[in-house]
Amino acid sequence: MKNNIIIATVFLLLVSSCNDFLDIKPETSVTTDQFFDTKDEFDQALIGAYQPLQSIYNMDWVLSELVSDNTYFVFNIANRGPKPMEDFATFTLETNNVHLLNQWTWYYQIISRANQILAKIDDAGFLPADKDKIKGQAMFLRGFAYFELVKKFGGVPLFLEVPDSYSGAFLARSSPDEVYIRIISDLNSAKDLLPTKKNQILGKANLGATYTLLGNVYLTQKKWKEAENILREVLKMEYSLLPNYADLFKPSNKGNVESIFEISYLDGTAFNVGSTFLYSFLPTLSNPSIITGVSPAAQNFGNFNIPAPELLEAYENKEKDIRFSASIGFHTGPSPVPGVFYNNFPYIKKYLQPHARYGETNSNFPIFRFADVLLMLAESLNEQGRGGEAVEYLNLVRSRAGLDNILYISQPDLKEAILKERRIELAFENKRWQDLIRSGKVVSTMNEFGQKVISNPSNYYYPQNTEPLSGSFKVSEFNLIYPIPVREIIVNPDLIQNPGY
Amino acid sequence: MLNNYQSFLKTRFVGFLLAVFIVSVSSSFSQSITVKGTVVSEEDNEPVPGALISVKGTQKGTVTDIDGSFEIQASVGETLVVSFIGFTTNEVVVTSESTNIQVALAYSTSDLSEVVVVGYGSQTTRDISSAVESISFEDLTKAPVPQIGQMLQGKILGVRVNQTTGRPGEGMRFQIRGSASISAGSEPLYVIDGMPVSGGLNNLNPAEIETISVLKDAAATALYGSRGANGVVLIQTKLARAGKMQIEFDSFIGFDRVPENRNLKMMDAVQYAQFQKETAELNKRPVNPMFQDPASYADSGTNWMDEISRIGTIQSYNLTLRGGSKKFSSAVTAGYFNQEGVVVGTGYERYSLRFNTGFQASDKLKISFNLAPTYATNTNFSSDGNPYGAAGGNIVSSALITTPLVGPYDEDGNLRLTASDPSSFGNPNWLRVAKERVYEDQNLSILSNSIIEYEIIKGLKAKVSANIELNENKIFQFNPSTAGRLFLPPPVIPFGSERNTSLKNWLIENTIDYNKEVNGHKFDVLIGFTSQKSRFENTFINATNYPDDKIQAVSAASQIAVTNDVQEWSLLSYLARVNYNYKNKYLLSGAIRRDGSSRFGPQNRWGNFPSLSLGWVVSEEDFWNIEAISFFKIRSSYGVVGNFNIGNYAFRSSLTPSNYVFGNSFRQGRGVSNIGDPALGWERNKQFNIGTDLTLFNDKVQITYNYYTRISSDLLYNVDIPLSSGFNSLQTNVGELKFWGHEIGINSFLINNDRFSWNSNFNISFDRNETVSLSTAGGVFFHGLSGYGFFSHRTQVGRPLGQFYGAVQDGVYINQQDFDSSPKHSSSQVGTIKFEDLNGDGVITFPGDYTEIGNPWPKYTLGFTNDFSFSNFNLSIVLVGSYGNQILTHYDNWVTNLDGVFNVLEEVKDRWKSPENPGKGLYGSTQAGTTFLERDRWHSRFIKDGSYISVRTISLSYNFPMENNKFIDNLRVYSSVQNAFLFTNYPGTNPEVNTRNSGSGINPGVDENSYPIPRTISVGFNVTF
Repeated sequence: MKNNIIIATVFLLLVSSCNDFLDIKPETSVTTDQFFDTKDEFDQALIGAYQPLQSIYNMDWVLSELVSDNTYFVFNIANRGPKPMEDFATFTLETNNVHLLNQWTWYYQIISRANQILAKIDDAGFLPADKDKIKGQAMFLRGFAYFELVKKFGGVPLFLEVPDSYSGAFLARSSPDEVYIRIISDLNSAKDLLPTKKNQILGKANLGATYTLLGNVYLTQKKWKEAENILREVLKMEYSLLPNYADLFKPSNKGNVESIFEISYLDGTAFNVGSTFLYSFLPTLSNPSIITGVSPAAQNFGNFNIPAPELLEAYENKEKDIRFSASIGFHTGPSPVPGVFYNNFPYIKKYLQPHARYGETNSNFPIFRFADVLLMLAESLNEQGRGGEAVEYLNLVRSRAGLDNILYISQPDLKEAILKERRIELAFENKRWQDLIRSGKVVSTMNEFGQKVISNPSNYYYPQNTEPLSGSFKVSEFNLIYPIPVREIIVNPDLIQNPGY
Repeated sequence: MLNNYQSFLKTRFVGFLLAVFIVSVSSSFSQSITVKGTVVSEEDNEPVPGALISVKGTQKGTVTDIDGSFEIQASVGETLVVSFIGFTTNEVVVTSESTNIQVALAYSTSDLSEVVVVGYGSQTTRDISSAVESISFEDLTKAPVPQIGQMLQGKILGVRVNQTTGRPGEGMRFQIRGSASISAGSEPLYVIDGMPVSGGLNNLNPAEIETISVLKDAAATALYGSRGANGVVLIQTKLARAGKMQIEFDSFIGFDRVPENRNLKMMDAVQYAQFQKETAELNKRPVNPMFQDPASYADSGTNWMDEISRIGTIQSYNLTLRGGSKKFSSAVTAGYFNQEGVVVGTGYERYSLRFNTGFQASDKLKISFNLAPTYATNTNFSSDGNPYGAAGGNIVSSALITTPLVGPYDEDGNLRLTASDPSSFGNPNWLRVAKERVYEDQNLSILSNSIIEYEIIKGLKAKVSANIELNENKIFQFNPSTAGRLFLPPPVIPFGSERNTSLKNWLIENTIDYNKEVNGHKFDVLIGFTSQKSRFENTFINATNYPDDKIQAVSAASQIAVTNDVQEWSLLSYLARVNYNYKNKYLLSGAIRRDGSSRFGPQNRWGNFPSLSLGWVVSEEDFWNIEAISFFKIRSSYGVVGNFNIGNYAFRSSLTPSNYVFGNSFRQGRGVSNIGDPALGWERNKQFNIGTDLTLFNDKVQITYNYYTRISSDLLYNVDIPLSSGFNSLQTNVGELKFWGHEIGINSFLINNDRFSWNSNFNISFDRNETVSLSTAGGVFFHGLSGYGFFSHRTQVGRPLGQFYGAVQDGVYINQQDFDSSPKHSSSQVGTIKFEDLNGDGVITFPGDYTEIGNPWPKYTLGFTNDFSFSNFNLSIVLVGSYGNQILTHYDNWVTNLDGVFNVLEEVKDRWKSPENPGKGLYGSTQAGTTFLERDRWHSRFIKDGSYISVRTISLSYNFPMENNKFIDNLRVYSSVQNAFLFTNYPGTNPEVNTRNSGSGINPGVDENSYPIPRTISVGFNVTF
């Protein structure tokens, strides 16, 4: 009888195996302790660090173009869902704006993923030369993300490593200067590590992109001499202007001789890596295939980033300037939006390229191209009082566009001419808002623009008897940076909101 | 492998148990005569195996074998107490002739001697010293209802069963002791025939159930260790029982209809046209001709909620066979259930079979098999929640806000494609959506138990059980070109999807149970070892860009994306329990479970969950001489249980796919998706319970009272962190919560004579909670709905958790003077909503002027059941109620939208229109661009009183006298009204709603419109042969 008990007890013990039974690893995701060792794994982590760029540039036009005097939108009384986008254009932004929250999230995703790579790569076991290329890109991406954040939000929390605990996730804001110091140091490190364009696959950060970005940083800081020096380095590289402006935006021309850095997209896959911004820019139509040629198609959500009358007028010669017809198209026809009929209605045509599926395109988004470098260089020279040199670079861009050269008259005149040239050359490439800020005329320009919208809403695509909301277009200095997303303020009591919001 | 320390502990543990056994086994039996006998059922004279025989006033006891026979040592003059689940207890005095006695038991409802299923065993009510509630099949079947949860509403002390949605076959939500959800789940653990199941109870056929027990305190749930924190619901299905073959057939049909006053009152066509006209005029827009003459719509207009509603039907058929020989017995239940929902296109159907068998291989060896396959399908496409969902929107919310000026049919009687007017953006025709959108959910589940019991020596039983739960689910959806959604009118590009999930959940349990009684000391010792593993696989195929509607299969789509997921967890456990009872007076029960879980990192893998309970039956003492109180027990318990409801891999930091493009090539990359916390530790719930059971006035009144406290320390919560860290949230141990409450249950059998009887059951629970400490920044954290950038709930130290958080409305700015003299938001204008300037800075800002604006937890909840029997008639009325809770009516966001793009609540007609006509101060101006504050900020107008009393069930039945019928043993006909009446000030459709309870994190008390709860009228009959 006692034997029975003992047998039963032994049986109990036998079944009690070891902890292996309890060690269950996820089967559909990799855990970090099994990762960050081989080159292949770091390559994958790097792809992950680039990935938020696609989301960012599908929507960046809201923060960088729509807000400016280049474009506007069609007010739709029956669909108030897009109000968070309209608030950028009408300067009625609120702290809970969803697009600000998204962009904030995505930039910090890049930063966190770059930090992760930089923290782990020194301990990994593969060739130092391969490590350098990966490190260089991680530093480029971190610098790029902090540059966009500091331009858009001012001083931000400066994360340089990945938090590993609850308390580690809380940081107060650094000053803009502290952020800029880190950006410049990251980019200086990156430029010693990255290969040139021809030695780097398209889409990855390379030497030219790093120099251009650094030049852009100095330009934004109004360090004209430093900007000039850096941008001149780009001139020495393998870049040149593409003869035909319209060819720049063809998917078949990705990575052309003029391209320095672009956000890569690809349509036709099962993974949502195509671009979508085009469909925001088209006129809202019951059947957009009459413009895109792509069917089946459904009613789209367009009517945003519609070229403003000011921009149309800014083209000094619409016939000679090949950029006009390459950038802007016109549509006439009925609209499903209440009170709207499209009558020679302008829309962005740059990115209207052949594609196969509704809602997904194969267009890359240009970040830096050689024309931009020439104009930045011209600006940095003119600001140093070297307008004679500057005008040559400006004329390179003008002559490619089919326009006549201009002569240097005065420093303020040339400044105005460069600003206008940037507006036309880089229209819809998300440069205008920062250009206006750098010019020092953003507040007055946008207030004038606003007054015109208010006094003549139908010129700005408002349906009959609708107008901007009261309180719109009261632009002042505080509008130059956006509010920190209120979710961050609520969660982290140490964050101080920007003044004015 | 186990480390040395663990091995050491284990050796000691087993050694202790061995010692207990050896001591017990070697002690001798007391001297007395041997009583032999059999126990039979009074009704059919068939033997009752498994009945408990005890000698009154001692702790001697035994159990009948498969023949219903027993043998027990007793002295002449002592009384044998014979009891069995579902039967009344009988008593027999031992005489010198008691060598072959027969004891007949009658079927019964609950009383003190009822044997209650508890974790890993059963106990009689009088011997229980923890907080356990039980309800038997008899009580459950008074009214025919589709779902188990509906049967239990209002009937169990301390258990709140809410119906959160009327979707056929769904929506019953259990809350034990107000258990507030803070981590992913507040649902109790469901255990069917010993198997903790993953799928809940939705697909279980109620007719298969014999009893349900609810374990509430730690002493009762400690044997479920890490899963016991929210309580345990134990379900015992119909046991195989030897005896005459009994055939029972039960069927009912019912009709569902949404009571007229339970729909939100939207504007009719006249009011709507007037609203549009006034909105255009206020905004100085030309009035569209369609809205120019509102009175012309006096006799027309469409109520879209009515258009998509219908009278639903219910059919239920159950056939049960029960009986068998001494060697082999079985209970088989086959069921068919079909419900067509009140929303067009929705429905639920279930085919179920349960086959429970018992096989007595020898005197010592018993083998049982239970096998229960269930096949259930439903067509419940999305119908709860907000109208904005990308996958197709929710039809109830969408239909409510659709213009009443357009109907579903055109002049020729064909279904229109769209339902839009000049003010609304394109909407689909919701009736067409309901009819043409394809949604097929097919679910096949199999639950099986194989149990071997072997009696090694008398009183010592070893039991091995192997349990498997399998579930295969497929959800196919197809959205044709004719079915659009809000803002996206058809034709749309057809899209579809297919989701296949598969669950395998197995559990092996080995237990040894030893019963022994020595001189009035009764021991029942249980030790066990169990291992469980659950694996869930999910494959989702998202199919978009179909060329047309002709072929619906996902392979016809031109774009297909496949994602899949595997979730797996395992649990190893050691358990032990000692029940000790001295002379029916002093009760002690101690239990411990040691759980090792794959959900925790190696540092914190194992957790110990001990408990102890004590009871004292004061009325058994010699000094007790209060006649009026025939039974008086005091009991108390303390224990620690855990919370298992965190993600499977939460402690690990992992990477998820994160892709990009280089050149013209797609590149697969990875991004870190969460911060792991290898130190993530168990959440411990320390629970204390003290209570009493009283029986008064010749057993006419039974009173139960409990006071409990529960401290949740090291609370596990996925807390929001700054996004600048690169992450959204972190699963961590954040703090300590306290729950406490009082429960009072009164059972009375006031009138009980041959002609007429009246029984009533009243129960009321007062549940409270408070946040004791938080390690989060500022001792506070925010959660809930955050779609507008502001969180809807706040949890703060010193306050109950999950309080509603928002601004306080102070009417509207009536006129310029009011506007000038009041604090304002930057977008405020005369006529817009006015908030209180709580921080006194002279302007309205968010969240600067946010505060706590409401409490989602009720002050008390109650249930009240009255049964009246007159002759062969039985009338039963069940009331349930809740008092003092508030509900956040998020649906106000769309049903009071002042932009004129939706239909709105009728009461919006009393909005601000001009300084002379300022309305009732609830709704502001329709001036374009000023309306969003009213809609997109959480504020006090969203907070509504959720108190209610509901006459949940009225049922009437008649038993035909069948004494002289040779074929029919029993025939009962019945009818009932479910959800008969609702008394409430709550303006929404259902005060029990919580649209967001399934989401992660806590969002208590949120109403976003849900599928309406119908009133059901049914009739049926039950016949036994």
